[in-house]
Amino acid sequence: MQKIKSFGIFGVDGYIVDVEVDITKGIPVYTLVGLPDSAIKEGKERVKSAITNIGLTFPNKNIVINLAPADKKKEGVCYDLPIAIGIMSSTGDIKCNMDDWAFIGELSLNGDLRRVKGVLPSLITAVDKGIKNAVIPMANKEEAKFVSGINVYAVPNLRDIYNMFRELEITNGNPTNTIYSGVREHNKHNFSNNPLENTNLSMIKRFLVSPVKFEDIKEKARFAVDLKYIRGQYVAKRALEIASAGGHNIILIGPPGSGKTMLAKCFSSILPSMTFEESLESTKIHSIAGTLGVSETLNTRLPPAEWKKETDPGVEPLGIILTRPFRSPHHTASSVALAGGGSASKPGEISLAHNGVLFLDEMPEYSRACLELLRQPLEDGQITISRAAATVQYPASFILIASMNPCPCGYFGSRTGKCVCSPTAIHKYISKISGPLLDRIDLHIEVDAVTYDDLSNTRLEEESEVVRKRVEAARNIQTTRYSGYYEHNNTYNGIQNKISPDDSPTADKSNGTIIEPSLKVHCNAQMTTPMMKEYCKLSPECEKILKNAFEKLNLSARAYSRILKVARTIADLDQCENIEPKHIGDAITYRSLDRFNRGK
Amino acid sequence: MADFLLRIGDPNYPKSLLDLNNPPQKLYCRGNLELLRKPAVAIVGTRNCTRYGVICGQNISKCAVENGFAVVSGLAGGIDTSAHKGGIEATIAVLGNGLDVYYPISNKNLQEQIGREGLLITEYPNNFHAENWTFPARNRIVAALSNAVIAVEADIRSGTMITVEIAAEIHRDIYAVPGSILSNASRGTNKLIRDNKAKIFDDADAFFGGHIKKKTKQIEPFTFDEQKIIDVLQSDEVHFDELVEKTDFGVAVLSNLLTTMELKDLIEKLPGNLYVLK
Repeated sequence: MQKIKSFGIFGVDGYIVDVEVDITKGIPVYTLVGLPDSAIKEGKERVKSAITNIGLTFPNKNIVINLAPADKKKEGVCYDLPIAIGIMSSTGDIKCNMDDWAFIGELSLNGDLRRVKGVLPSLITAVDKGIKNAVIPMANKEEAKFVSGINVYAVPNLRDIYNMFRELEITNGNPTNTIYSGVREHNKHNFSNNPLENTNLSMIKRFLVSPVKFEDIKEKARFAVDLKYIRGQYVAKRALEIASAGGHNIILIGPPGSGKTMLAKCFSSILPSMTFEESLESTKIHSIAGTLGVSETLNTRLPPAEWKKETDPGVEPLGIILTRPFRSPHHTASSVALAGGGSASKPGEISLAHNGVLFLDEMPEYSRACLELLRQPLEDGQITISRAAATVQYPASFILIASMNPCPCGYFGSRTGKCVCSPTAIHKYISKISGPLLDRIDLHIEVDAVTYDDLSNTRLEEESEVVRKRVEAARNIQTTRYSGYYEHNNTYNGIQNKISPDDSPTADKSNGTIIEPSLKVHCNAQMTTPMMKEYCKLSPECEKILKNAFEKLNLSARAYSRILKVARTIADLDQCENIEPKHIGDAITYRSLDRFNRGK
Repeated sequence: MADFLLRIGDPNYPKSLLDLNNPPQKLYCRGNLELLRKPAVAIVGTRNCTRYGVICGQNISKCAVENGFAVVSGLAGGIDTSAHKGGIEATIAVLGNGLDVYYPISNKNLQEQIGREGLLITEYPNNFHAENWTFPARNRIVAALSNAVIAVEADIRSGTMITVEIAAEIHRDIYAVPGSILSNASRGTNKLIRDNKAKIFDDADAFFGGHIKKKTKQIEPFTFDEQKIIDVLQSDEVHFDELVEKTDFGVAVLSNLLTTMELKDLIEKLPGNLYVLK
């Protein structure tokens, strides 16, 4: 019996799956057990054809394959390769000890390895489990570049794997005279030559993925959109800057054509650049969802024209997410599409937006169920999905950008159009967004369409780069502040994300233990009440302004803590230690939904 | 909260209601009955009002209350609400439902406040919910309780016009606030003036006697920056972004400045991030 290691995915983490292959004499039957889904079952034909087509023989015997642990449902097509390797080992075509090896890959009928989902989390699990070598499809090569502590071989074809192992046998000082044994005479036409003649002896080196340092590629993050392309809209731009600096959620209210979507799209270009841990977390989720590359071509990282310059066309240019994800699900999205789950248990849009931005265009058009499910993730930075089969947690820490019209016709409060909506209609429209949800949105911005003067204005607008520098400075202040808080108060008992291969995690992930999303506060928007007491102390002068504003400006009670948090961020942007009256005055401007009893 | 039940013949029952063909047999009241002894004006108008209407409603109501009048209205949204808010302490709200029913629900707080500080009146018992016929019925009480009816904004076919008709039948003075000829919300009031059914209401101070001196506000001298903003705002409603361009202040500075000025009552922020002089 041969035992080959492969991986399954639960939540956002991989676990080891042992693919056991037992070949005995008897009636030729191929049996696959261990809760495989139908894609895995169908793999039988692919494996058979692939093995035959690379010039080896598929054994005409009783084959039993078990995917252990047998009680977990296995999904996907990544078991084709380990099954094939198991069979090849059993027949003696491959003679290496497979204890240190793991395999993932889908087979094509001619033996080519096809791209599969979830390679990155699988490799991270492999590192945790001390596996020394892993074989993955060539197409997934880029994902492996950032995993250290393991030799990853990205291979295009099953035949190359076969050759690689033959070479290993030789380099291990174990050259055998059975070197041609795998190549049956009648299949020789497929194999034009002796397999070893065809390759150089450094196959291992050829397929070995050389690790890339995150620092080296960090600078490659590019954005196709830039704030400098937006004319006017000063207050909206400033609000985005604040939102980015403090991690605040923001809602843009304005008539059609006022540039809400454009503003939101520029948002990712002013977000602080990702740390390695964040990059890896996001890449992991996108790897599982199979959206790696897809989302990014839609996203703005590199204009397509620049791809070819960077690397070969068709190959993922970087393999890791460098710019914060920007997800904008359409308003017809179902709640499962947003939250994740489903029978295949996939991360939803909000998890794909992890460490980035979730943009809900025309927020009142989303179904109530969709909007309300955002409440938990907005609070906890994760979403728990409970189904009959299992309970899964996906990380979902994102900045929410919502946009909406001020009324059903769209022109209430606009200079350009005339609103024809009755006050009741306006009120009804606004109240589609529930109070508790509105509670979690710190900044409300009313934008209006730009005038012709704005468009023809030649005044130079600020570049995203410049804004991002300010944002990062403000974020640094916050990071220092909140790490200091935990040292003092010792109340922090959250488990940090340990996905960096450098610090090996302790949690036993093979049992499906999920990464605890970090409970640590990183930015002002996440401040807890005791923290606010400590860091948002107001001078008597500030208190007076705030009190005055509450009485005069018809602010609702929920505005209080929001204003304090936003004022804290404004002070950070200003590099001020304490919140000053001007910061409070500035912050009050961004609470317009609280201000007006719209439509009453 | 003191609740009263006034029947016809009760000394507190307002005599003016007897001008009606069908005066209410019972009146359920909550609040300050003294208000019924004051001279009263009805300030009525549409729910679909404009900002112009809200400002007129509030200002007229304020002026009336300052000059010792009681303001009667129907506690509907729009103009009615603005009329009540102009002077809660001397306002009479006539309801189309029971005292403990809140309609419209958006005016719940206002209704409770008027119950404490002003006066709520209805001819319907507790738990009686409003029907579409109770509103015209309520309008006849609004018209009859007051010495004059002022229509602030109304479309041609509207509840306000019903109130005005009833008021004409029982010989109340009728006034209408002229409005823009482009605005639907002023079509009814402008028509009243054109048809000679109402007199023009254009000077609240003169109308209410104006014998009370206007409170002179202690105006602090404007700072240089404030003056700059006031100069820009002279013409019209101005959007925040336009202010940024015209004044050359940074956004942060400007937004703080505008909040400060708003707190000083110099300017007002409108929905849509527009600013106007107050």
